[in-house]
Amino acid sequence: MSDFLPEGIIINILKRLPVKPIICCMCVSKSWYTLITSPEFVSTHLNFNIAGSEVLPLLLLRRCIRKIERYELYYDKESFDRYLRLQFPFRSINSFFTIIGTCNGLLCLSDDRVFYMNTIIIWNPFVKKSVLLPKPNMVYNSYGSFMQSLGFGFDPASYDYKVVRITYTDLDRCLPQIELYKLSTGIWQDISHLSLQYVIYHRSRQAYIYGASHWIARDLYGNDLILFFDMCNEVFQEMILPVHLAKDDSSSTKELIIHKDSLALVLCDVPGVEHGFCVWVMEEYGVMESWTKKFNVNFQDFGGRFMKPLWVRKDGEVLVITKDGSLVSCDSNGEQVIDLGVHGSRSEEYLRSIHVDGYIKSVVLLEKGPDFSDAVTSSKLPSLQTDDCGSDDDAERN
Amino acid sequence: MSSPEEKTLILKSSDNEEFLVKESVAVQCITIKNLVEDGCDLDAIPLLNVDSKNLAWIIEFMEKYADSTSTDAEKKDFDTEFVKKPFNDVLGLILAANYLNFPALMDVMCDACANEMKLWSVEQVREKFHIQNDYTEEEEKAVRAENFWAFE
Repeated sequence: MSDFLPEGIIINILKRLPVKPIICCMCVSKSWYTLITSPEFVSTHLNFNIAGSEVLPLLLLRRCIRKIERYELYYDKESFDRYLRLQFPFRSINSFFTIIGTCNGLLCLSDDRVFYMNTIIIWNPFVKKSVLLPKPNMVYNSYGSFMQSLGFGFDPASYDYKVVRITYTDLDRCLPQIELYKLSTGIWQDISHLSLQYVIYHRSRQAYIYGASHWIARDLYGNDLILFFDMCNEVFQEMILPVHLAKDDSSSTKELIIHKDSLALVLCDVPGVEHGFCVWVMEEYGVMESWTKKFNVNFQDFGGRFMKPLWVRKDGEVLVITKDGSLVSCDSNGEQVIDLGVHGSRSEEYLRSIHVDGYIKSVVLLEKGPDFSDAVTSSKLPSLQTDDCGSDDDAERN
Repeated sequence: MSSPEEKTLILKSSDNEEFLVKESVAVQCITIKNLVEDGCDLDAIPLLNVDSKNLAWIIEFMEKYADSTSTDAEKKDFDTEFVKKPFNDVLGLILAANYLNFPALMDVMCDACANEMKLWSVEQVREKFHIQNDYTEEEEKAVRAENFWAFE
């Protein structure tokens, strides 16, 4: 007996369900299983949640509490209530994973904080599905010390998720090895022919916007610029920064973040200098003249608590982590400072482990079979073998 | 010449019952809106896939939503009462709203449907949606095992 409801209607109903009932519905019949694991359902469900996030945005907050990684989702609204604590099934060799980025409900994690473990995972915590990427071509022990940068994103043309990896070795700092992983093929492809004349800031975190991973990089003359990799066209391009933002300044750190729908640069004074931080926003994407200073916050206004800005909220306020591990929200003048009630420790490890990102629920990876379950991925992770890995410290000493 | 807002349409259900509805209200159904814009000059608009029971409900919903004096809170209260119908009627309204292309009603009815489904077992879903289980016992076990945590 065939179903009397058209597929489009079933999708319209199921997309509104929480994840567990959606998965239970895979058991209803073979046609429902096919429907739920279809690209049409996955993208309709995603778009429904993207629309929902305009009204009620979610934030991912990751912290290391007593050496254990904790992943939580919070509502990005005035009351900043916790929505859910996610179950984290993986163990890292380093203190905690580096979060490369989030995209369409997927997180990309890399175990490379100190030791380069060549462990990169793409994970959807909502459907408990994940994939451990194969070992990249450039690995520490075959080439000696190096620095790497990673980018993670989505190609809407081929409906594929990709990870780009740029590694620089001591020997040829301006001829990096570039590799691209695609979820659809499951392999790394060498794309080093896209030669780069820039060195991406070591451990620079990507800012993902308009389908491209953006990082801060330095050119041969010591000027900073924005380098980005378009996930669809698979090419690198650069954006020149205005002189005052491009100059090398050891008294402050530079980091790219997303401010509402624009790319922004956070200049944060280092401990010791401690004036404050400011946020410059590129109001018009790609237009150098459109960089505008939006935030100027002085640490003195907070009794000298050293703070690091982490994220710009939907309403334009900045989420900041204080010296004592509290999360606060402040406006562009640093005047309205609200304690969000999320606290932690003042230990360096805790403060360094804090990561905030926007998050959208999805069922991406649900269509993959049992091999992609978190339990299987977790079982493939390496256990500690000290001769297996290299570290940054070695690079400095050599 | 009468202004468009005052124009009244005659909607005819599949069982030949006629309903008078203001054009400004009826065009919330995009199917009807398209017919009107294409210059349909029939005395009554026949809605072959909507019976009088469903059409009466749809008109009740349309009139509430077209009323500019009703607040969002009032609409929400109305929705809460409106969806309290036997599940088969909920599905019937979804099909009718789909045929008439009435997005606001689709959203309310699909939300209501999903809300009821949240707590159902697999067997209940099959029963309420009139779906035949075409899995063998082993096949169903395998599907459950794939994502066992969702069934706990």
